Amino acid sequence: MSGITGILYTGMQALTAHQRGIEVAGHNIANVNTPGYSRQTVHLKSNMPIMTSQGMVGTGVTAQQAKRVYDQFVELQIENEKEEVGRWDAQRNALENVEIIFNESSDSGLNKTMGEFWNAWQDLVNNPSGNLERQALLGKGEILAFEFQGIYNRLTPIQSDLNTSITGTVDEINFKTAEIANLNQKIMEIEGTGVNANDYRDARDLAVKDLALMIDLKTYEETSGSLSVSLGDGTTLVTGSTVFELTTMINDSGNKDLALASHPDDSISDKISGGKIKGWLEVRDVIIPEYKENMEDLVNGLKGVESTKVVTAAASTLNGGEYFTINSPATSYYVWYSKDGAGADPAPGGQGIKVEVSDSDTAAEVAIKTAAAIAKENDASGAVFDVAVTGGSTIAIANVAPGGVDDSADFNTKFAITKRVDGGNGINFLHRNGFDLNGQSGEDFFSGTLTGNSFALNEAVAADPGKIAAAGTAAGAPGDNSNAVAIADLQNAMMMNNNTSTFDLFYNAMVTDIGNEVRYANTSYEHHASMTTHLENYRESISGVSLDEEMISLVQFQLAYNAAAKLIKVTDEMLQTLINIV
Amino acid sequence: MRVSNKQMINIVKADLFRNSAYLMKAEERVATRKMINRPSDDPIGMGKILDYRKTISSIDQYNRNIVSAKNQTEFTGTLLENLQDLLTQAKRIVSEHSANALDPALRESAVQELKGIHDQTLAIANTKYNGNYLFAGHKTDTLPFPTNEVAVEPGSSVNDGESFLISSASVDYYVWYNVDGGLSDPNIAGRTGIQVDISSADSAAQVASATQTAIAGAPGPVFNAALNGSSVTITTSADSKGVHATDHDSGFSFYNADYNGDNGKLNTIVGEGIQVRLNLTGNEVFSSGVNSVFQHLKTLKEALAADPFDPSVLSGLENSLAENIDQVETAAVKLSTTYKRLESSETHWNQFRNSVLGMLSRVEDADLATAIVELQAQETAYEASLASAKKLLGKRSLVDFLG
Repeated sequence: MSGITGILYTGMQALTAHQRGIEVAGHNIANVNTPGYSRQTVHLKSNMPIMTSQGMVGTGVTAQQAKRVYDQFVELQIENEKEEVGRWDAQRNALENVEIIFNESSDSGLNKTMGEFWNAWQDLVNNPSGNLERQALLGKGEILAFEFQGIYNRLTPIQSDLNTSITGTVDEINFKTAEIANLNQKIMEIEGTGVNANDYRDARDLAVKDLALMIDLKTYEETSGSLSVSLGDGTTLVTGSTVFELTTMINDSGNKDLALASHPDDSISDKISGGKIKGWLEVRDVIIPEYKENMEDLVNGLKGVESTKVVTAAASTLNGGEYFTINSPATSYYVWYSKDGAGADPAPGGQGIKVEVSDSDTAAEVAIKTAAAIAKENDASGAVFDVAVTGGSTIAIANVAPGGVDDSADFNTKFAITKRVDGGNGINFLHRNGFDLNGQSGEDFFSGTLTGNSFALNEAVAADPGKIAAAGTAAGAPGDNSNAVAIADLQNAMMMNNNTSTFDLFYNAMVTDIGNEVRYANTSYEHHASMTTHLENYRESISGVSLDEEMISLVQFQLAYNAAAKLIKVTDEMLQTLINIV
Repeated sequence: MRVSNKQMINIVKADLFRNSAYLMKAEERVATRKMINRPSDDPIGMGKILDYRKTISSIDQYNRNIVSAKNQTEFTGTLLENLQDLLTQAKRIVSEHSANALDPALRESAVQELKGIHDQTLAIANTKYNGNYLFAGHKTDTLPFPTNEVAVEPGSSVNDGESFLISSASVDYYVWYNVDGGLSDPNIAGRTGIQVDISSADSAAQVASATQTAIAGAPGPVFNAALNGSSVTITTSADSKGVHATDHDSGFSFYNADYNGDNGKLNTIVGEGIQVRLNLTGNEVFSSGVNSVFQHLKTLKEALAADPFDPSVLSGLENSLAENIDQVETAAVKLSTTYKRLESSETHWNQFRNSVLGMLSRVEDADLATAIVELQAQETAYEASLASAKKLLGKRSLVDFLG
């Protein structure tokens, strides 16, 4: 179209186009604080010119669809960083709770309690028959056991709190994936008609970033405009408008694991590598169990004996590394079982006699092998023991050196196979070797386990301070303190970590570990958080709304709008002029 | 670069959060005066702190051990000094009377003096410290040099199972009372028991009579028991050793020179793996049996009381007592060596404790001046970020100019 009507039409198009520009600027200004919003721009394009006798004549302007300004690559980077931020934030928060449990101030804490416990033994050394010293020692022992159990027990609620957090977050994940699927649907519908669904896309990007904080993701945009979302390992969460919901299940340890709602019994927890969920799983399943195990090790080291097992029938009840002790007058030998070649020497450097047994051995075969191994050892080091296998699975060990028989055992009923930790000579072991005020052999000092929530003083000892075995010989009671000295010396003995560390050092190292772990989580969080800030700033500098810029746009479009109106007025006047001629 | 409004807000927020976190940390250090308030503040430092604290706690315990050991050593030392004086007196009596036969009245007063010396020596030997017999070895609840095991007062004061000891040359016998058939043999280890059946209604004379009958009738014993009213007198027919006439009314007074304790050593811990021996056994100080201080004192007393008086008996006793004195001196030297070791350990620990305290303080404690300066710096930084935030957020935009 050309001619005066053409000019009028051009003016009208210009009015519309610049009005659109003002609309978009207004939309940008209105959303200056909207999270996830990407600024939109209007591209103006001149219309197709028409060929006339005067040559090419322009036909005005059209406003193109508003487009959002954004950088797909930055969005992906933010998404990746968010996974890490979520993970380390969750981890450091959970670990700070653990750290509080192990915090040692100068007047409380396990380090101090252990010190006081050992000091109480030294007080007993100073006055082995003193009732006051004995009562005080029992008191300190009780507090020690109580604190050990307390720390251990306080770790469990952290794990169960994390279960609650995980369950809640799974609901949130399902909510977000549903939102993404819903937005996918709308985007497909709208963009199918060739229109840009800018605001829906912004909302979807935001939902994906929120989701990335919770769990690790991979995203892929289909040609239809819908976004497929899957876990890091490829398990699909959203495709098109379909959602695959997550749910939780109870795993073997009684904790909550993640599973797909379609396969509610198959845990996918080990497939998760980022987001808050990963952080919580890591603390719940790796870090806290490790601390619990360390505490358990420490208690076992203190007690000295992990488990005593009476082998009653078939050899299959023997585990690699289990052993029992036989004594010659001067030396203790331990006999240990290496089952199917597995299991390392439990007490390196000791007088060990190795017996190779296999899973399929009967009790009788084990007895024969034991006898043979002991006899062989005799050949090497000078005969010390007389070993006889009698009545099938019964083995009798007699001592041929002066001092008589030290231990003969009926394999069927009497082989107490004792597995010791770290050399085994802990408090219980020494205490049983000592004698109480009445000249009776000592009993276990501590009983129970942390896992069984039963670690405490042995009730019999707790009830009667006289049963503390301070004396080294039965005749030595009540004035002998040599066993109390031996137990007090344990404080500085290398009892932990394969005889390389004292109890105190072991515990100190544990506290240091926790400190390091928290520190690492904090540093990682700070690193990823600052990366995220940086990337989000970068994103803002591309996609964010600048009011100054929008003001300029407003002025720019307003001026053009005014000019276009003027054009229409001029055209109108031209038409008037024409009409007046007639 | 484009700068959007939100970008400015984000940066201001991040800076404020960071600076306020630093400020809080600095504030905490000033408030607690500690550099390390939780393990993650300095994990390695925390490990060191725990180690230092443990060391200090151990040192304090060593010092407590040492103080208690010093007290006991000092106490024992005083006893040995007294003992030495007593024995020197006894020796003086021997030399006075062996030189020339003094008149019976002087001998009589010497016997009285010796009786006193004997009783005091016995009291020293049976001294209790902290409720335990000091010279009994490990048998801290056993009277090391018994006088009378049970003082049996007339009739009703005899309790079930109570016993007293009499000795022949080779065997110790205990005589125990079974009141109304009520109690079993107390079974005193290493001794042979003689049971006396009495009833709680028995008079002292009846108890004495029952005792005499029982001793006389027991198989094995080589004692003569004679009855005199409510007193029973026991003498041994094998030799004259160890058994005294006892008056039932005033208690079966008995002693022999045998040491009832053992040779158990009592050590105290004065450092990691370092032990110092504390006690002296009765054997080490007083000897046992025929060579014991008590045997010599008794022999001396009996010799002086004997009529007719035979000065030749005294000649050997002077040497014997000199040996006893030597033995006490040796024990005293041992004791002073122990004391010196304790003192040097104490000095060592006190110095070491100070240096560990220093190390602990260097790791754990905040230098207050530095911490306050740091706090001031963080405060300034925080205020600066507030001021810059005000500038940034309050800046006029194009909107203000396009009205």
